[in-house]
Amino acid sequence: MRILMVDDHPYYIASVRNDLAARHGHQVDCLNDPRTAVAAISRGDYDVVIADILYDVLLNEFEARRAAHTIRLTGDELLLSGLTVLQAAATQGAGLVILTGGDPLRSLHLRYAYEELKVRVYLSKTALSDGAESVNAAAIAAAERRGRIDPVLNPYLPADGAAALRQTLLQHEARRMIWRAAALNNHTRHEISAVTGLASRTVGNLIPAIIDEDLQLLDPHLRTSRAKFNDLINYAATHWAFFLDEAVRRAFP
Amino acid sequence: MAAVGDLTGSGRALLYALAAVHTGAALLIQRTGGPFTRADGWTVLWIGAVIVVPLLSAHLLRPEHYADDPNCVALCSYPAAPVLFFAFYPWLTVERGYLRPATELLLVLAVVVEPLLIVQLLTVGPVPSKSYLSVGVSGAWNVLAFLAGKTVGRLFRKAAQLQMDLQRRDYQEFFDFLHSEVEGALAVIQREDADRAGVADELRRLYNSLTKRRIKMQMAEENVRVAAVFAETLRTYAGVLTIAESPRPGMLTLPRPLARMIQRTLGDLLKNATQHGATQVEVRFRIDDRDLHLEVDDDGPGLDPAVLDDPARSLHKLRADARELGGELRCDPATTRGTRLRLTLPFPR
Repeated sequence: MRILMVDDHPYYIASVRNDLAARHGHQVDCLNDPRTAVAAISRGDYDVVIADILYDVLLNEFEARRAAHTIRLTGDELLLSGLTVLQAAATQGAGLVILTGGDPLRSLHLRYAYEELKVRVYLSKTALSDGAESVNAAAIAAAERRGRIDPVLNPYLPADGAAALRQTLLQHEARRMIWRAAALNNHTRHEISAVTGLASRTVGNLIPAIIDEDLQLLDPHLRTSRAKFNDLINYAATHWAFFLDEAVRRAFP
Repeated sequence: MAAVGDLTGSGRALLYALAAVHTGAALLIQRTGGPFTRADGWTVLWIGAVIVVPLLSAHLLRPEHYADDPNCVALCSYPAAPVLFFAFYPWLTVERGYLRPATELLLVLAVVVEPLLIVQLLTVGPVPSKSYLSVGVSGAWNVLAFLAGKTVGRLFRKAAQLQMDLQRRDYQEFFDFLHSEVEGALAVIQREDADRAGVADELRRLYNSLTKRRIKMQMAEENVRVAAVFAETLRTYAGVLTIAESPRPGMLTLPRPLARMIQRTLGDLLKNATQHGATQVEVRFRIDDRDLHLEVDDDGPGLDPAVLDDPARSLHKLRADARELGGELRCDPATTRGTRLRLTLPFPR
């Protein structure tokens, strides 16, 4: 089986690669950033692509630009993540595996991958310490289009019947623009208006709907405050890496 | 400026009463944060004081004394402090943003125009020029107070936002450091060196310390993500127990005390299962109309429900703490093998 592993800690996966090759006879390529991975996927013929979600170098570089307010919502490339890799791999018909430690910053990415990219194999990095066996089992499951979800990552995935991101946070274009503007550290109605091109009054009118309809639908038990704008800013600040993800922006402009 | 001696007889008593009321109100505001922190309708109290107290003071004075000082009308500084705080606080939410500039404009006009109206009403015949001067200076002080409140408020909000961004970034960077660097390095060491005597145990200890640290960071939030609580707690036991079932709480967040109780219960029950020789657990979580339910099944030798009544056991303390939060911890009697422990907590709406 031809496997591509994409992770920005090469020493982390190097020994796994050796085991996968020696014990299981797989041909494994390792790359450390999404851009080269997408190019390799378009050239190669991989049966399975295993990708981490966020990449430190890209994340830190993007975070510095975000803090300096030098990112524009249109024109500029947003944050490249494992979702871009998995999207490319899905287009090529490869089996998909997400390899992650799992933490709240990645929770919407995991949900998006489950709902939109139909990823059904999730592998926790903790499992890597037990050897290449879990990676091999995950790769085989992905190649056979079977589900295999690490119980440590399972809590981040949507429950049956839960409203999907495309029905909530990603449903309306104007609201998506507001989320992205807020994720870009714009903290006032006027700043958001300037970045999105929406009228300041429109921004003000949409914010209660974003919180009371979209977020409440995503989590019916979510407790919001009376200051909806603060809720929006706090949520966007926690999940900025998702709202500013390039793959998500391409699918939901 | 008008002195207490200029007041009418009953005016003095009223002035002292007002002073007492304000002292009491100041203490109350110091304790509760005052009407601005409650926002919206409570702000009317503040506006009312700004408008009514100068009227009252004018009514209590002898008419000729209200604006006889060219530097200021009687009690001219009274509205300055409330106007300053009014301009300072973000007392309206953004969805009614239009209301704020409109109210501010009306209030500034009120504090400027009100003394003029009072002078017109109190003066018989033409108004002396020194009274106009007195009214103009009073208005200027109040407008200055308003502008000062606006400026300081903007600076404070910007500083608070920057501080919050900084804290959030520090938190995230440290989380990422634990996630990528420390955890990654531990995994590699464990893969390469786990066979050496003591290394596996030491690494397990380090993993557990790391997970504890991550859980502690999660619990620093006021509203804790339940998915993260489950993920991090299960991670601690992933290498020791087979987790046959884990829940999907979605994007649910809970107030810290409830999240802490769930985390503690899950951690204790998994630890208990490990210590009593269980190899597999199933963890379920659901919310109904009134309660949160956490259920942990293990395949261990079974637990006597009486342990919950034994003050020497940690499960007894756990149940007492659950009860303190209005919940309950129950142990179902073993049927053939294993234990089922159920935690119920009231769900806040």
